[in-house]
Amino acid sequence: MTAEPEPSPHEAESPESAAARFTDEFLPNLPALLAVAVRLVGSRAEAEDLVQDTLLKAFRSRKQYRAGTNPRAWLMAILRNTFLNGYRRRNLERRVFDGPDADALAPGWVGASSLRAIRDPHSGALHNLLEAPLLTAIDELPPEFKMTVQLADIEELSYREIAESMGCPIGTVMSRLHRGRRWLRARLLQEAEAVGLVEEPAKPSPAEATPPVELSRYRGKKGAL
Amino acid sequence: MSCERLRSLWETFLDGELPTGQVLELQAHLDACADCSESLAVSDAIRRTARQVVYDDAPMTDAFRARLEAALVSEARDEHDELERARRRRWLSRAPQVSLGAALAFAAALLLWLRLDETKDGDGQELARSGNPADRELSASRMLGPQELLDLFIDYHTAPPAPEVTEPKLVPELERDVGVKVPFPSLAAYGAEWQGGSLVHVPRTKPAAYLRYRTRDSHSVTVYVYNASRIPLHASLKQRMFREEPVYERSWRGYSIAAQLRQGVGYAVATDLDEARSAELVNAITRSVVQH
Repeated sequence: MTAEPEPSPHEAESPESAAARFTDEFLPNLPALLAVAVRLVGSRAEAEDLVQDTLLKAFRSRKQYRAGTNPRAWLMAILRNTFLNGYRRRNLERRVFDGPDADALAPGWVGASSLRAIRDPHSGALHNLLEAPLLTAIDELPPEFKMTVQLADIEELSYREIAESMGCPIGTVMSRLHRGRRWLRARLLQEAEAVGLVEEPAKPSPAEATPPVELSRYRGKKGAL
Repeated sequence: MSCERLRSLWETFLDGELPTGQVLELQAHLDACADCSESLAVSDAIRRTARQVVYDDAPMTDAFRARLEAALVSEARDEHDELERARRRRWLSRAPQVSLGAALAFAAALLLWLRLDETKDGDGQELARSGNPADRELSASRMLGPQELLDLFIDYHTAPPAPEVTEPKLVPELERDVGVKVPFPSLAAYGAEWQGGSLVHVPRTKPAAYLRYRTRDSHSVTVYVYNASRIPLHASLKQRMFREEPVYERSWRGYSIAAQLRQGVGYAVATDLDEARSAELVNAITRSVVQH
């Protein structure tokens, strides 16, 4: 009888080098993850926890990342799932969309002169009086709309990448973008009027008077009644 | 292209997802229509500003980055340890059958040697007490109390863990967890047959190797191998001289336990026999360790 040779131990990479490789590849996306997380959970401390959970999950499942695809889209998908599984704050979502003036917040027809007044002609950005209101308006969007708008407008992911991150069809991405952006625009025009940048009040048109509401929220509401 | 048509396309345009043909059409309309052009400029302004305010509101800090990097390294270490454990389990479970011959040869050699040894100096009853309580307290103070440690080792003897290793050849594998070399002592000379081995947890330090034997007349014998500098079991016991070497022994809760040290490695035997018998067994083991 002869002894079988011992299977040689794996030439596995050291934990430190595995972590460093992951860091090199994925941590350039840290500011983006943090920016999305802060908007989703509303507090810096919780956002940091959410990002840390997200990255540890991503590290554990790093073999599932398909090389050549956008690492940011992959990380955002994990961030979203992590958020849905424990960081969601329902009371925040309810704040505006259940409010009495929710339906009033839709843009009517607005002339070019009014529109011109809300932006800075030199920088191409919004008038700086509207910076804080824009952040507030983003925060008021339901999470799925907020994240979709953020991934498109801030992270510049493609529709397909957003659809993969959000686990929904491209049509849903486009519809959320459309409604979310219309909402932001309406809120900004309302604010512009309040601070006197725009003189003529924006009149809501009936067709655009529906603020974006998540289907799950609608169902929850129906069930509660 | 009408204004209405343009407004249904401009988001797709801004998102860079509009087919080229439509982009040209749209561009032509924008050049001619101030309202649409301004409307598009506002959408673009919102986007630019959103990017800026959202990032300004979530500044990266070195502290946060450092915290994440540390968390990732720690996660990587956990993962590595887990893989290592899984690999070892796989390997142990393959339990090659080839070592039986080697084990028998070893047992035979040990038997022969033990017999020779007994004929040479069979007067194992010469006892000399030289306990040193000060030493005991000093070394036992860090971890479990002396009595707790004694209780723990007797507990494991009375309630043996399920064997993880039943192949003598694999016993030395336990070294990785125990942190000291784990020999495979045969007690065949004493009529005791090996039943299996495993690891037992000792609070705040590495585990001890646990080897279980059964004598022909149905006494259970537990042999422990452990890092004696971390697990000062001997400090819970009374020291005496046995064949010119210190042996530590004690009766406790109806059982007896005896220990000896070799180069920082502790060997202990727990039985339901008397102290002298446990001491004799542990001495047989430490002597065989020196030999091999």
